[in-house]
Amino acid sequence: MALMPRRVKHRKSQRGRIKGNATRGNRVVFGDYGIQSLEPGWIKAATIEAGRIAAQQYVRGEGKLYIRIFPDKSVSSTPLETRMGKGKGEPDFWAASVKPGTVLYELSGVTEQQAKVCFARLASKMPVKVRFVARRPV
Amino acid sequence: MAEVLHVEKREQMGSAATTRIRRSGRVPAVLYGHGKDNEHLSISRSEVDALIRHHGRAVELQGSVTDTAMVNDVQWDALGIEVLHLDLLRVNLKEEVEVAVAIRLVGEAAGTREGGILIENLHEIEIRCAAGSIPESLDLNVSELQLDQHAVAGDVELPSGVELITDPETVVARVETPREEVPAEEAAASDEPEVIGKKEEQEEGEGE
Repeated sequence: MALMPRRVKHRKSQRGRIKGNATRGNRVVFGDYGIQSLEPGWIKAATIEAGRIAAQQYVRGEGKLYIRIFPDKSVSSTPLETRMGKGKGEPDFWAASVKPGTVLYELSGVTEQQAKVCFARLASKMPVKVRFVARRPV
Repeated sequence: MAEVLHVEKREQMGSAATTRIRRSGRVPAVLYGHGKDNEHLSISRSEVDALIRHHGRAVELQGSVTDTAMVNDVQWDALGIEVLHLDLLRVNLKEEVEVAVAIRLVGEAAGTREGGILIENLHEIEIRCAAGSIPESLDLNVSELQLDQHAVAGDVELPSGVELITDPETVVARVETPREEVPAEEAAASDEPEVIGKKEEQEEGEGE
């Protein structure tokens, strides 16, 4: 089942605007290598899951994958062939709002070459431009 | 061994002047500590990059200012590509300082040959040592770790003159038995999360 919050205060959220760069969650913390967003955008829960599967199939039994983002924003939509008006549509999917610099996934227990190949598979699933990053020296 | 940095004093302050310095291929820095006045400096970007690459901590300043210092803080841009600013703390190279040093896992854990995954819980540990002899990294031999065993901070090999500050019982690395991937569950009865307070309101409404 796709990721989504267990409890929420409000079912629907406003669209909002993604301004500026990430000042938190912009460093590799848990693993040794990561994949970092270079653009702002929404990443759907299904896309996060697709990325997880693509990476997990590659590192199966060797490394550990960390997902650093969570889809906590509900995005609503109006059904097709519906007349305008009648209020805001029903929640359609859940998404994670991502700023440039956000680390999306991390990997540990694999070599740099393996991590690069794994993240290349994962990057093709992402709706934003990404880059490969390594843990920053202390 | 302290790295040598050739520094120049900065005459102009402020964001515009600092941006000009960065554009000219230099990195702004500040030197402080030991009760002396602060010095605003700039350092060549190539020297800063080399310092970061070598995990350098203790530095010897030459040029407009001659002193010994320790890298106290590094400010990065939002994407972590460029160093924006360096904080240098005046130290005597024989003075004892507390620093965080990276841990390097050495060897192949025995448990990984049985299908385990080596997980690094802690990537750096706090140590106390002379400023002039801060190690680049500290080695931890994990070759004897079996499945579900762990290594603690106390197991890290410390060179002479280095004292551990981190709790020696802190787990640094462990070999985890891989968990089987749980097949995706069928969609739960409700595809929507619970709304906080909604149920209570409804019950109150019915009661009235």
